[in-house]
Amino acid sequence: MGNSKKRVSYHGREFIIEPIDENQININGYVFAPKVVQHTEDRFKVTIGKYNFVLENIDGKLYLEGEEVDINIKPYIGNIGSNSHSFELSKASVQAPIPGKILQVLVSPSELVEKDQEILILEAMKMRNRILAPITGKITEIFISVGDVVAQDQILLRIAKD
Amino acid sequence: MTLSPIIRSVLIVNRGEIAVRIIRACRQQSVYTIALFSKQDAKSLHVKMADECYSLGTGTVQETYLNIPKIIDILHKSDADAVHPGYGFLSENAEFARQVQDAGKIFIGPNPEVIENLGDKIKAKTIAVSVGLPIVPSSDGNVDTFEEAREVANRIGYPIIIKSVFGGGGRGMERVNSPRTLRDAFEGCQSISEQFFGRCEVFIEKFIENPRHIEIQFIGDNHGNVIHLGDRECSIQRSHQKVIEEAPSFLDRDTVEQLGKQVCDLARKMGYSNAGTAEFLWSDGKLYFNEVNPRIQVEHPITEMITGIDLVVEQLRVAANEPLHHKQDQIKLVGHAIEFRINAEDPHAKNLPQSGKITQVIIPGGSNVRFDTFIYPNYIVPNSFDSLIGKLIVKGATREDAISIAKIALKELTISGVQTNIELHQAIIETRDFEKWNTTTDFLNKINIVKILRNYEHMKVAAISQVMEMFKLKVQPSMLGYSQPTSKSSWRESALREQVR
Repeated sequence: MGNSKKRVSYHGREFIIEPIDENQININGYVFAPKVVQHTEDRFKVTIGKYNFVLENIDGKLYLEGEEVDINIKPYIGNIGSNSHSFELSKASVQAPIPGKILQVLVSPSELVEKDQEILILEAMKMRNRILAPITGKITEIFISVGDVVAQDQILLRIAKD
Repeated sequence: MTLSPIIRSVLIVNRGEIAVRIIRACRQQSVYTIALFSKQDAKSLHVKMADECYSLGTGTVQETYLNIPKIIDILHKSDADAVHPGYGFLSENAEFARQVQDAGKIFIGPNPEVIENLGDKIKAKTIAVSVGLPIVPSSDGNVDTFEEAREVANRIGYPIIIKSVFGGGGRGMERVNSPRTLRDAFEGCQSISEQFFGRCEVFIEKFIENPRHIEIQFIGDNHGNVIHLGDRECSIQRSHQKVIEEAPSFLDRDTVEQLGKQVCDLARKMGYSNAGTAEFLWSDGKLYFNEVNPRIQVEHPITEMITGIDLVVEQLRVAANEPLHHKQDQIKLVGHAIEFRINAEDPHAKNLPQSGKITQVIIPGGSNVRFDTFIYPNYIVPNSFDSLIGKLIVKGATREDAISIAKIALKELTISGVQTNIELHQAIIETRDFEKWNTTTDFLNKINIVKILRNYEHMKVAAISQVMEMFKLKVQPSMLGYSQPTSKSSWRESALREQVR
């Protein structure tokens, strides 16, 4: 069962795909029914609902709608019983993307935060930079306070999924 | 056509598509063009196109395109008659304009005093009120203390926005929803203003929730004539950066006529010459004056499309002391134009700017399709500047026509080598809200663009995977390097980019 699953890297992002039958394919939990409506040896026209996609294979390179495709398909090796390969991160450390000074800390320990919620304001390059929560979860540790000068990549706080 | 001999050569203090655009207008007027460039831009199109060019050396934007002493030095060396600042960089820098004038050269833009007055938002509002333009309820001048801020906020009601008096381009602004966060925001905004703009003065305004962004293009000459060239709507924005602009706006023509007249009064009163744009917010049937941008704007081509007037050529003419070539009653708005800003950015990854080598460009064509750009195959998009790499402009007899032309053009437009936001535009114009012209500044959130794009990406992965599996396609690993995870340095680039505008 599991070996029909594949791990696809497309334009720098990862997807888990799994063909359901000849007509349907599951992408990250969403099911699509791509139909190859026309094809020559190296040109394929695919429809999904009202959308059309033209895929070309030119000298071993793929082009979607004329734009070069960066895709890599690998077998999916599941790691049963471990969370480390699950799709969503269960823990995240928030690092300073840039050296600067902590202007505001908008969360407190054990506070629940939503993904993309503003958690810190870092003053760097003369600007107020908003730092957002990378995942939904609970603030487990805060290592800095207002006024601290932080270095690039310094860990500022940690968030864990409940 | 030739310009008055006062301007025989122009130094273009900018880069990218606008530098190319200015070179074209100069050529048309038989004006000699002089470009300048930083080291990363040595292979940029404006450098290749210009008649003469000077290096700004290497370094940050501050050390190159914002380096006034270096640029003034080049101005002397090149002996250009005039300077065109384009948009961004030094275009709204009164000190630079003054130094150009002091060097005995023409600054293609309003006088330094006018730029200064407009840069002071409180002064600009006072003048706006004096010609009858409506403004947003606000503090009476600067707000210096927290106590004062609290009083003003209570008077005009939350939400409010704290703005740096000398700020601009979406920087130095803080929205406050409740008294709870007022102190932090107020002090934060003061400290940022101090550091970023060198002046800590801030003021407070009522925050207009999800307005529509309307603007009036105008142009004045050195002889006291001012005309307006109609309106534009630029509501579709992403973190204060315009994404799609249209001309004309949805406003009824009587309102635009009235607004245009008042804007011309404002410009005349200020002694404004050259091109400018007055920005307004529209909310619940009410218009509020926001600010005047004393320069050519990114979206000027949509006005050119519906008026048939070349705005950059007009800028050169009025700078050369010629009177305006058009009277107000000769300005007719014909059709509907839309501009799509094509950025090198990944719309899925929080619009992080992308850099890389352009491997392929296919530029759409046909009647009423225009593409202003500076990229070409094998050009390496540098990572130190604004992410704008091109502007697709289309025109139709009606808005509906313009949209259908845009759909075709966006499908044709192909850029490989860097990730772009072309798909973002395709997704936007497919929505019902865009079609129905329900556009407000929160448009992208409202339509949940992130979800639309994700779904679209899933479909693409489905289509490609299906074909690859069905036909057992073997492909070579791509050399594009999209697969490398977006690094922290892109984040820095994004921060840098915000500084430029």
